[in-house]
Amino acid sequence: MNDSRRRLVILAVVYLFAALGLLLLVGHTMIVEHEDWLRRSYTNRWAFRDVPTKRGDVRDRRGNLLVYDRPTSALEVHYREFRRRHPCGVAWHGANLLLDARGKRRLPLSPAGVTAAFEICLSLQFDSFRELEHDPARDLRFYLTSLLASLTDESRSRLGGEIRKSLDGGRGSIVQNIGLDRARLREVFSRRLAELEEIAALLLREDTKPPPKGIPARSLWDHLRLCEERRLKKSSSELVARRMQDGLAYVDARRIARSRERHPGFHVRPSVARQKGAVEARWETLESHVGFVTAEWGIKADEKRRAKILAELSQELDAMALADEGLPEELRSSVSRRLRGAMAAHMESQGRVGRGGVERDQDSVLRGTAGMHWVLRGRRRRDMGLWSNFDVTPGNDVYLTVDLRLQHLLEHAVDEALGGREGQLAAIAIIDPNTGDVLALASRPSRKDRMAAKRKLPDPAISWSGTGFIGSLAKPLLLAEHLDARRHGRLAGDPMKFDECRGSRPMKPNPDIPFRRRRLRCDHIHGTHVDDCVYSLGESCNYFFFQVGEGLRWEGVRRAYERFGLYREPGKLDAARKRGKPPPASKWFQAYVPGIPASTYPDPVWQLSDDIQRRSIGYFVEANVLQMVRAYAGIATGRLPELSLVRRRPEHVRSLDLGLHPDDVAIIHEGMLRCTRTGTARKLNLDGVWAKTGTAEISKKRLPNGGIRTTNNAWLAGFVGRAPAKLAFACVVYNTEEGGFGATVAGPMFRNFLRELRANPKLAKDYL
Amino acid sequence: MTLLGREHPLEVFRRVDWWIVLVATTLALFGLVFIHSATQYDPRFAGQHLRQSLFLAVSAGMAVVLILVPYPRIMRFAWVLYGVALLGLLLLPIFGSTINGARRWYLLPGFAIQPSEFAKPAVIVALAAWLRFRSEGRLGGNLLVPALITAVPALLVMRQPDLGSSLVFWPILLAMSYAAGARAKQIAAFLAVGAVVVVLAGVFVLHDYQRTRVEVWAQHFSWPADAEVNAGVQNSIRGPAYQPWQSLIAVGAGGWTGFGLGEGPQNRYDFLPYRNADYIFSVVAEGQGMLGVIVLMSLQALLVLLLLRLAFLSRERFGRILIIGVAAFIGTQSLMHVAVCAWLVPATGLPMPLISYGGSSIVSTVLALGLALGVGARRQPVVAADAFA
Repeated sequence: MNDSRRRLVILAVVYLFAALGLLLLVGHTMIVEHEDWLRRSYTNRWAFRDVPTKRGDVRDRRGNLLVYDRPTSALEVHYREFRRRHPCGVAWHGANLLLDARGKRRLPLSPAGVTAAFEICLSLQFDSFRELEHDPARDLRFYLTSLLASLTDESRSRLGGEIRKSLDGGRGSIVQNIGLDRARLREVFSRRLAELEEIAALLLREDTKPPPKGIPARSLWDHLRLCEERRLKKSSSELVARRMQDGLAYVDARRIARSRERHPGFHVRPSVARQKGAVEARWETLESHVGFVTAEWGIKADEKRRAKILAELSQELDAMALADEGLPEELRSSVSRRLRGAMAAHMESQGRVGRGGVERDQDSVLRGTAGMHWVLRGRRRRDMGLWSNFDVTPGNDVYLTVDLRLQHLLEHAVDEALGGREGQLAAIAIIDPNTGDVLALASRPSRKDRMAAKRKLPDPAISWSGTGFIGSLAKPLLLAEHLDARRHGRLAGDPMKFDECRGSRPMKPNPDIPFRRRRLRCDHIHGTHVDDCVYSLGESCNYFFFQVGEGLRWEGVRRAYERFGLYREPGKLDAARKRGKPPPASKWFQAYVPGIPASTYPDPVWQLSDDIQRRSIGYFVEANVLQMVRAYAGIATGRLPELSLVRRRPEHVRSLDLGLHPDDVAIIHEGMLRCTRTGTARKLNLDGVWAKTGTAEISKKRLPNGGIRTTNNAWLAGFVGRAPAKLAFACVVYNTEEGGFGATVAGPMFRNFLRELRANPKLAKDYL
Repeated sequence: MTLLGREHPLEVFRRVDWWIVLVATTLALFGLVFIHSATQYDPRFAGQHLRQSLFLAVSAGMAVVLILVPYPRIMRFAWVLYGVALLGLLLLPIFGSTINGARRWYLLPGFAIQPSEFAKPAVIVALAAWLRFRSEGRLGGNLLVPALITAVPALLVMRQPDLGSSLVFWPILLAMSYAAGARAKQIAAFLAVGAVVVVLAGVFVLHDYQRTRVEVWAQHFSWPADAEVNAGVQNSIRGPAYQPWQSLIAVGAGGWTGFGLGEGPQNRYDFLPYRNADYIFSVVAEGQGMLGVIVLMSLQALLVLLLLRLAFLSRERFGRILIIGVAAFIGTQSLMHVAVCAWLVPATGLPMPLISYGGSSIVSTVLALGLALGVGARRQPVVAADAFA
């Protein structure tokens, strides 16, 4: 073989070695590292598209729509896109890059700052690039290219090429060097900035949906500044879209959507907004019971909640990842993780949570589950196929027990009775005594009152959920226990041996009976009628009930309240709550009313005091209208119902037998009837109503003129109709400064309501 | 004097190495299939395999004519061809069109001509013409002057800018010079100087984007398996490293058997850029897997070896060096294409001979093969005796 051929062989061998080496390296990538690249290949084209769910409606018991989700639009900013493509974004970032390099102060992210930044970019000199390091110079070139491309019809590649070419040996201004008209650029930029300002104005317009309470209204520039701050802290944060405005009107949404080519980074997305139903009836009190919905923004409780929901969903999400047989085994856990991440991100950005009332309490029913489309996307992020699907589950509707017609009457009745006394705390509840369904619930001040008031009014929830001394409303409960104790031979006093009522003169002291030495009095002299239970209840004789309490002793008095769900063992409760365990309670006790968040529904208060006599007439015991109406529903029917603000299936409607003898119940009813006919409530002229007044003295103040001003909690509670009872009610006016009584202050609320109810034949037929 | 010579065409065709024709045709047909598989889901590139078929048919006809032309006559026109090629490159800044920031094409009605592709066979002919009498192994005659002949078009191509194509000239030069008699030490010294020049070029000559590509390429070897979660890497992947990274995903995801013809997701979902030309190997790797890669690279290697065998059998220096040039052109460009697709070298656009889409590329390759086959069909010494025979 000659040298020439030998060289040929060497060349062939070199080539073969090179080819073989290359083949081995490619083989290493394709075989050894295959799993890594396969995962990247899948993740490259997989995307998870969340599908927002529709939250369930809230309706009254007859199906009237109270609140619902209305499809609407939301405005989002994708900061990375804004920064890299929008003329304002690129001008501001380009100019600040230069200012950073020169050690000067950054321009503010505002219209003025952006305009100044644009001028800097426009007058950018070739020498400016020489001041910069390699990377900032590259970024500045990018921003300049983007800016000019966004303001002209020139392609980015051409402009980029021109700038690059000019940089090699150019002098003076870059923009002039590449032959662009500065005046024209200025004009286009001003137009874009003006359009952006129009978009910004939408965010602050009065008719757009305001942000939830506690979250300040932010302008578009505020949002952009926040995005920039976050980007500086963590660059990946700019990849997450930021929702700036929800509930955008269709006209505005369409206008922004149409200008998306001119305003990169601003996107209009389909969304939903919680709306009030178009009902004519008044239900302002109910609005606060229904509550409201907000986005899940950065509240710790929401993080826990999200984690809980995700844990609930994880099995289904895993099933979605595992169901695909074509998916390589090694990718499934990664998919599950990404699915959960996508769902968490969805919940964080678009998830809504009920913040109060029914929306909060029934959140799990109303919420629904967002859907997830697992799609295959192309390079341009366009969806090109559906890989798998996790169906969206809309939330279920919640029907309240409230009848909007009754609610309307009640709102009017309350307003009429209170006569516009601003800030007066009052509440009234009407329930079905047989089922415990809350049919109407009104309170003052309402949210509307609070907003209209000149002075700061208390929280609307206080009047109906807050507790107060119940006063003489306790007397039927004590009488029930007294009669039951005597019937079953438990400790109880003998009315025949009771001291006669001496009115305002104190009871005779008795050293054998604790607290007898106190000044225990009655409003009127009831004389020897003290042995008559019906009379004593009807006339609300304190003397009688002091002695009933003495006879029952502590056990009996406690049992009297406990039987009607008004006693909770004090002391242990707080400790148990702190331990996170369910607090101990008797079977009569109802800690939670469906539809009312447990945290906003307080327990009855049992103040510590050994004064058994005064406790027997309702002192040292605090309750709210719902707790009292429940107790009186028990008196009406002999069964203690379980209250609910949310309609339940018939099998879930429960009540407890109070264990009272019908004859004893009849005695109490007779006493209450006497109360409305000739007793303390006689002035109300409540025909066909069994009721009891209660006036608990809260404070007494001596006035400068020598008079005394008492502050009372004025109560009236009872029921309409007997065997079967039709309606049970309880109403209260707290802290009446004129020393008002149950019959004079609280009673009119119910009286007005009953009058209107009876005047409406259709309603009367349904409820009376 | 007629251009086609006095031999009967059938007699010439009888002596043609049909193995080379068979392998080259197989590769070209594979190319059509892969171009179709790479473009079938994208309406922008619809019918490119048909256009490629047309180019292939035209270039095959031109190659047939070239085979019939006695190569000594081509040799006589070597410097004319070289001059025309240089002129084509020189006139690009004036008459050429800029596409994607590079001025590489003359746009004509219905098609575009890329003169750098035609410069390759022109340089091969010119080098063969220069080296045919230089078997002494002198530095100047065997290496420096040929380097100068190569450098002029290479630099013009680099200026377009087209770094990939300009780099292809140098292995051709080295292979031809070495085959012509340059000493191994001279080649080694040349490579050493070349390395220094490359480093200096990296600092002073390369454009920013080219430098960035080199930097990112150097960095990517140290990226961990979960590199994508890193913000810096993400920026690279979305920016300068986008093309090679997507190509690497396509290659790596192929495994042994691939996803099936045209079914590779990187190809199908449009992640792979320039997949009909600069990244056609990635399409093959993703669709046909390692087995497809082995078949393709084996066919390429077989073609190169068959060309080297033809050179081995040739008894005349010009023809032999010419064939070696053609083999080096096809061999090195194929290997460089594979290396670019697997991101073993910095990203640069380079078509795979006979496989990638591109009229100029296929025509120049087929013409180069036609030249080689024409030489192979005339193995007797027709110009001068082989000094080493």
